[in-house]
Amino acid sequence: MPHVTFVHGIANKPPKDQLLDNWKYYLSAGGLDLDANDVSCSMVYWADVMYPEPEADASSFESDSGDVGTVSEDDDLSWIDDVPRKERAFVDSLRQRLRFDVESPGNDEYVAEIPMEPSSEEQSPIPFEAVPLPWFIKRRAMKRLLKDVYYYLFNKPWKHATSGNEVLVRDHIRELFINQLAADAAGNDGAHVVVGHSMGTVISYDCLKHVDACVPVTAYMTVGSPLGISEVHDNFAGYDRRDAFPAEKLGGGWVNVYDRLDPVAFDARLANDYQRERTKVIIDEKVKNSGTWRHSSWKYFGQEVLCEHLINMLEL
Amino acid sequence: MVANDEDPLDRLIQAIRRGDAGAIDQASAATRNGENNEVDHAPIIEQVRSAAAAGDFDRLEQLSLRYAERLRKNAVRFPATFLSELASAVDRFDRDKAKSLCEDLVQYHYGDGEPYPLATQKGILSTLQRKRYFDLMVTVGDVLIMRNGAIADAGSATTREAKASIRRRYAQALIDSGQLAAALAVLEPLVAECRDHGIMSERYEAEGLVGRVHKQFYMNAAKADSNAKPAEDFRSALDQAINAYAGPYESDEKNLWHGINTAALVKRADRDGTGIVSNRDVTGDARRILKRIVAMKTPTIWDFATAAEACLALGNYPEALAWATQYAGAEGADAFEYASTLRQFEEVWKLDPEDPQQARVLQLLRSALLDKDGGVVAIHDPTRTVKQAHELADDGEFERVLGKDRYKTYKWYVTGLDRATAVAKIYNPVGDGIGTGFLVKGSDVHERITDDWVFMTNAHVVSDDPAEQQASPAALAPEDATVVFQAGPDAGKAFSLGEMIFTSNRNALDCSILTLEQTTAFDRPFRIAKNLPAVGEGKRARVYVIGHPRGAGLSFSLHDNLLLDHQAPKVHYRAPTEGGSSGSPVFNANWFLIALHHLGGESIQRLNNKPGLYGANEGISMQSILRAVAGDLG
Repeated sequence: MPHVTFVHGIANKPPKDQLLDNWKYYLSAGGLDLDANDVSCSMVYWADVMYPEPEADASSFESDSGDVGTVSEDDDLSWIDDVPRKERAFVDSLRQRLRFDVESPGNDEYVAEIPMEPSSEEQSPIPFEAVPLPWFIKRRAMKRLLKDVYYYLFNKPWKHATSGNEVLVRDHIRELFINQLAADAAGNDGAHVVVGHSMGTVISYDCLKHVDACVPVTAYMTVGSPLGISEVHDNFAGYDRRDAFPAEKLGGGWVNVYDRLDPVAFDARLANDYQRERTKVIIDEKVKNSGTWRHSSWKYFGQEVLCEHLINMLEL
Repeated sequence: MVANDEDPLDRLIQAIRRGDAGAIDQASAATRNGENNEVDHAPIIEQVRSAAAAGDFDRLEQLSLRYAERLRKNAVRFPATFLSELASAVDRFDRDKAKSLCEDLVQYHYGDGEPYPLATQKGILSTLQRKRYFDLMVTVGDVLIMRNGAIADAGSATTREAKASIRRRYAQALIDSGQLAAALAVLEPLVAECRDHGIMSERYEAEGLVGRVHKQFYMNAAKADSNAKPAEDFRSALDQAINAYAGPYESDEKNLWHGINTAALVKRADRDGTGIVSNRDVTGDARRILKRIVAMKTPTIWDFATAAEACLALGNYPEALAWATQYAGAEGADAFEYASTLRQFEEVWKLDPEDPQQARVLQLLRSALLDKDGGVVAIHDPTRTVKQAHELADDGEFERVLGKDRYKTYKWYVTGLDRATAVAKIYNPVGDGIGTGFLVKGSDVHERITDDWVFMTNAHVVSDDPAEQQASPAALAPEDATVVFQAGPDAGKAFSLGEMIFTSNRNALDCSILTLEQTTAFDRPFRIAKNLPAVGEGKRARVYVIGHPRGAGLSFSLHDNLLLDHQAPKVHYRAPTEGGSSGSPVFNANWFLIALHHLGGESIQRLNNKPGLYGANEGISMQSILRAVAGDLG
């Protein structure tokens, strides 16, 4: 039976089963009904590591600001003060790249520019495009991303939000991923696809590339991924773009789906950064999500082209 | 965790006391999770009490299940168990089981056992109505009404009202099964009795149904021959319908459905030029109805539909669409309700499918209907409907009004319509439609097939095997068959069948795959599913059969079916109504092709070594067909 292992991204989430149902529902909007095709699925759920209670208000989760959740206030950045000196350069550099310290020219009404790293691949790099994105939404998301990425990549200690035990973030989340993947693979001889969204792509890539105990999968999809940001990939151990493809654990293809106006996936194309033996093999699939906040999982999963790729990966 | 504050053991004991097997199951499961063994257990069943006191939840569950099983075996003796068993059968579209339970119920009530409580009787009739088992409602209603006796005999006002309600539901079943005069014979005395005993709510409902009978007489007459005027008797039926609906509304303006039907029929009388003169202020009525619904804190499903109708009366189609959107998204509405509203909008209001504003309302309702368990959508003007459905899907304003969820359902429905453009009717040389077939991509069937599209149907419909042509029913020789598509780029064109690529007779895969002599312009490929949806405990997969309504010309229908079981090469599924015709494609909920429809019946052998027969439709799985083709063609 084909199987999809999902990995969610930043911010708080609804309870695990509800989140999984939501994602299945979003996919069905794009033309892929997993149940109808007897595809099983599971979720690597790590929101409970960071948050004591799941996101309660499902409607806010599905709102336009989607995956930012219902955080009413910005994350406190005082944690940066405690960052060791040698890691500080990473935080400062990523912080600058994420540009949330820039004041919105529209007094919190909109952000006038989306920072796109110039890419030799792009025929027409986006000039500072005016997008009516509520500034506070972007700011909160970027602050959350900064913290999640830092804590994960540098394997920082963290008091588990539900168990209260201190855990090392990367080790703990890696374990969640590895265990889920192993459980999903047990006795399953069908296609096995990992689909990560947002920070979930950092987690899944890291495990597929760097963890020996990780079981192999047949295909991989990254959605709204920050993996293209140089501060992110440069901090993966032994990163070399010419051989960054997780070939040992990934038997089939890697499709990366992005929206150029997704502020989390702002360096969106991955083919050049994660080559397989000096060859660009990743399919970078550009989509255009609706509305102002382009990072929402439901908007990506409702894209027919994403579903088409997933149908092919699942060999349906 | 226990779902509510009520002690689970109390719930279990209450369920046992009531003899309600379904509730026993639920309470038993909750008890296992509750782990509260400190309560003072009431001594209802000694074994249950001792098991509970010991905190032996396994034992408690065993006892409960055994007790529930005993109840189920004699369900008819325990009204609550009977009702939950019936609801379960109806929910699975298991007509055989529902029929057998109803027969037990009739026999029981012919005996001298205590008649069922009136509330349970009402529940039974509602349950049957939910899946349109009107004939069973009539069968059951006959004996229940006789056992209940005259309304006047009843003691309390509540009992009188309940008896009246059961008669009214019985009459409603007569209407829905087309027995209009019989329904009137029940309703007219019922109205009088309700009036005599001051049972106002039932009186209004019964008067409304009298209106519905007259309305249906008129509609039937109007439909019978659209070129001729209906007979005078039936024209006066429209007048009688208006009066029957208007009475309750004039007595109490809270009778909204009477009010809106009055408005609808006055408008219709005017449009049809019947000469019926009404002094009703239809616009004023519609405005008042709408105002009342807007002011409601918790409008019901029917209120949304009524509000949409009020907007139709006011000619405000965008507002009608907005209300219909709320109606389509309402919790608890089922296929029966959406089908009734769609019929009202098409037949009574005669919404114009050519008008983009009015068409939006119709298309939305069709998508809501198909999305429901047991939904059947008949498309009588396929070419226009499919084209218009696509235009609306691309209309940003329509998407915005529908909202994310409704729009998703709408897009899904449009994909279903697209699939229907691959479906054709097969005619014999004298012009009788004898079956269905559909286009499949040649390369999807086998890599060596070079034709872009090939045509698939049953071998018992088209075959080059003389044995099939002489069997009963006789298959057509390919050269005798004419294929006509209902919609899409080839709509209405006649195609001939060419070379037989593959055939397997009716006792094997019942499949023929042929080339078409003419080139098709069809250009909407679809996938063939590699896997069938899972079946079993907790699974409720739905499959869709695209076929043809009986006797209709260029039209098609999409039927929702519940997947029952599969065992290669067979797939079983069931709908509450008639299934698709032979040779129809069967799709999963993703609109991937899963099977070729082959037959349906009341006595189909169960699959996977399960004993016995059941009512089901049977298809042949596409993967089995593809494997056989690969074996044949190499």
